[in-house]
Amino acid sequence: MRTADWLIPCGAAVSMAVLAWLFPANDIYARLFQPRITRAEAIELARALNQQYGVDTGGWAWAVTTETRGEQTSALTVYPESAVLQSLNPLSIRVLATAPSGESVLTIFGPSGRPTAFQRRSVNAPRGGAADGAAPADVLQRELVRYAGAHSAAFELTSSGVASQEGLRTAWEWRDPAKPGILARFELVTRNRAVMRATYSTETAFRLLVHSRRDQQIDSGALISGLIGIGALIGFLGIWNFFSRMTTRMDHVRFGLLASLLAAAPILGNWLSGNIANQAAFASLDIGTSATTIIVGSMTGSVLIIVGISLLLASGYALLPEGTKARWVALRLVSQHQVLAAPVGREITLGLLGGAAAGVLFYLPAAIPALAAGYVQIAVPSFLMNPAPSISPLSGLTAGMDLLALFAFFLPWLQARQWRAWVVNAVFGVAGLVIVTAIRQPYPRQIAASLIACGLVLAAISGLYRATGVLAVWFSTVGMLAVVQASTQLSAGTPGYVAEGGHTALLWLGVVLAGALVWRFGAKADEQAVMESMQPSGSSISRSDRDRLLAEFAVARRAQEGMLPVAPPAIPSYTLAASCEPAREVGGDLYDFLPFPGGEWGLCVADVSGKGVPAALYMTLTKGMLVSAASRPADLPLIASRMNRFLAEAGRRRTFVTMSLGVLDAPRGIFRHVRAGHNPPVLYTAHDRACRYLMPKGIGLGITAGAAFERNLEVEEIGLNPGDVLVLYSDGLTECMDTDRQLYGEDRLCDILRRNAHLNASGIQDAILTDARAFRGAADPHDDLTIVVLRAETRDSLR
Amino acid sequence: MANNFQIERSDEGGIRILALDGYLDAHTAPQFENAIHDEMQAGHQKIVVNCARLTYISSAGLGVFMSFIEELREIGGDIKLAAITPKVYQVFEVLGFPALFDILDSTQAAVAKFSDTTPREA
Repeated sequence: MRTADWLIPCGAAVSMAVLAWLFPANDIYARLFQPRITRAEAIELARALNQQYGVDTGGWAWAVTTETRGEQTSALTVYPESAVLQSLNPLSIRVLATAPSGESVLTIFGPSGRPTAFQRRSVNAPRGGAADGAAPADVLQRELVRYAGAHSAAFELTSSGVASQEGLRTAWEWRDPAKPGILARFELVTRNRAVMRATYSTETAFRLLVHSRRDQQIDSGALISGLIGIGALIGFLGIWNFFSRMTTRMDHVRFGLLASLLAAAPILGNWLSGNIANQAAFASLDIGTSATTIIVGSMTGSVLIIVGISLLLASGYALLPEGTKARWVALRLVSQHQVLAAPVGREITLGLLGGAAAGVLFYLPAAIPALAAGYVQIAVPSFLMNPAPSISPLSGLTAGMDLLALFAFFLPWLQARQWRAWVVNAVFGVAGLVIVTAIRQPYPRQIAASLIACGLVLAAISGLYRATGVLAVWFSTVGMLAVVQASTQLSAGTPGYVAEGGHTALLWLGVVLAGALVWRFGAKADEQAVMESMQPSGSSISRSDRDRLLAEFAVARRAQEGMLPVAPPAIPSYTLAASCEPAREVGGDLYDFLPFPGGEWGLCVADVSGKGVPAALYMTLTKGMLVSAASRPADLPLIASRMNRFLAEAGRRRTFVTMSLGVLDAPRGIFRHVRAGHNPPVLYTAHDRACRYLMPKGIGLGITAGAAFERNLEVEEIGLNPGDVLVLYSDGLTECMDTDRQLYGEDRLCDILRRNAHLNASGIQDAILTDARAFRGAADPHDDLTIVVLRAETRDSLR
Repeated sequence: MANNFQIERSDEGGIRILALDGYLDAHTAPQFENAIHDEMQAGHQKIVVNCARLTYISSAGLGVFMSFIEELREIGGDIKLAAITPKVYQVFEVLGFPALFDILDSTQAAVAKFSDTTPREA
């Protein structure tokens, strides 16, 4: 178990405990808004009020939304002691009831449940005209008390029964005795003695806000918003620019689309829970368009969000440098439809918990005395609007775009720059801090506190990213919203809210547990294989290109085969056999027989490191050098040294060639050889029926251009008597693997050689190859296999 | 392909230790290559490769050692090998690596060898 696997859950637990301590005093809901009624309770209150006004709302559709009065919030922050301002909470809960006929009633409540406004919108009621009969004084007084509560005594009547288009308008005002310029107003409009509209509002003179020092800081909000807009535009253009130039991974579009489908979850959730219908009802009230238009618009918006996210993920994925692939394994699994794989469960679980742990960090600066005046505002109170409030945090998947953009796009882009690690970290840290602070502004009035809070959160999410991956970062915003929403609901203290808070907490605990179950029992994914599947691919190769390549490979293979000797030379008193089987279309192994001046025969087996086309090119080069070497007397160290220098220059130390090169003085029965890093040749001696490996010192060709090569090269000389067998081979023989990845090995080679040493060279070669093939079984040949067998014969056996 | 090769990284007195585990062949060599590349990017020049749990190495794996050694030595760094099993040592020996690389019994010995300033020839 990795450290992070228990550290993050522990961190989440500690954070939630700290949150329980810091939250009520510092969050804008708990401190300023103090919501007490739930959505369902608001609807119930609105129904009752309508009934009292004589409107029967049976069978009507209900929608709820919240709104914060910005000016009221500012005024309250500047003059928190004003009783007049305190009488109206900046958070308003708007309840809309719509009849099938189109008639509607809007009722607005303060967070405590006190009504602050009421408005009937009748389709059929006659507009204008003289209203007959003013409402009696006791009705007017009753309504004033209903909306102004205990403060009603402070209100003075300012106008009474003024005829207007709506009906008869009566107004009261309460001027703040301590602060001239601040007042509360209550207006009541009746028609035929029925209440048509009631509005409770406050007003703060413009000069009072303009001269406030704090208010000047409020203007920084506008600056920041402007920066966000410009930044988003530049970011989008940047993404588009990079996206249009992507070539490394061809499957990035598909990856982005499939991975972004996760973002469909909150959109679908909004849809199914009725949240979209709810918003549409208000949009049609506020903007005047039809609800259907709003729903179509909302669907288009959702599609755009998904497209945006998929563009972001696709670009990040396409840019992804090699070392970052591990961070994308879980998201890659999602795009491969393996949502129930263990790494996916791990990242979702740790993402939710990590986000919950990070959520508290927004509140930490509030614990610093100098900054304690600020309050934290990290999310809109959307849960009041959602008919299924506990799923609201899911919207974090589409709302936490700053973090997703930073970690899924900006970071891979930076890492692909090949800059020094500290430069990447510094640029990411500074840009990330600016972006997160600008977008979140957790302390709307205190930029320093916002910077500290966002710095802490960015650091925490970076830690989460290092321990897990991009999917966890994406889910962290959900965890953050869930923990703050549950705290808001639980701290409200009313039974309805506590129940909702419980639901929210349970639902998300359930999701965490479900994720943990997938983590524990889900399909174990082979992370290595997943990373390999992210390899930049040339899979876009067309069929005709493929056919052409295959044809060219066939030509190359024939050309290579043509470089091998057609048949071994006939050497008196010896038999000689050789073969080479490439593992792929073209190979990197080589054997050759060189006729040196003076009647000596050179025997050579060479193996180029690596496989395929690059190895084949070096094989050709090696062959050329051998041929040219054979035109001069057989000075083995000189030949090897020249080849080494040439290959070291050509290969720049990335490719090397191992080679066994020997010279047979047939009449005298002497074999001299060098071993340049190659597998040691095996010698079978007939007189003692023993095998031994010949291992003079020698370094592979092309490994070092230095003098170490020459100094470490030994020439070994052995005598060959009739019946002795010498086998030169490449590691494709001794490292031939069976299906269990066992190696064929030197011992097996010795064994088969001893048992077949009585045969001639080609008989021995067949025996070895047959044995190796039988050993390999169904396993793929993973390397070229080359052997050269030389046997010293007696005159008798040749007859 | 099974996940049959892993690299554990650690630090000992400013010297990076890469412990290889499993099969280092043509399939897994890029992983090793990236690991060394990352170390160099991060400014680490002195690297000890612990081969105690390396069960197999192919020519592609050997190529990785070669491809970095010269560059590293030019900037004053080196790769030293430690705790190689006899089977794997045989492969290194066949290729002539003992003449080019410091090969030591343990990571500690390899780390200590770094304070020994005699440069290795290439």
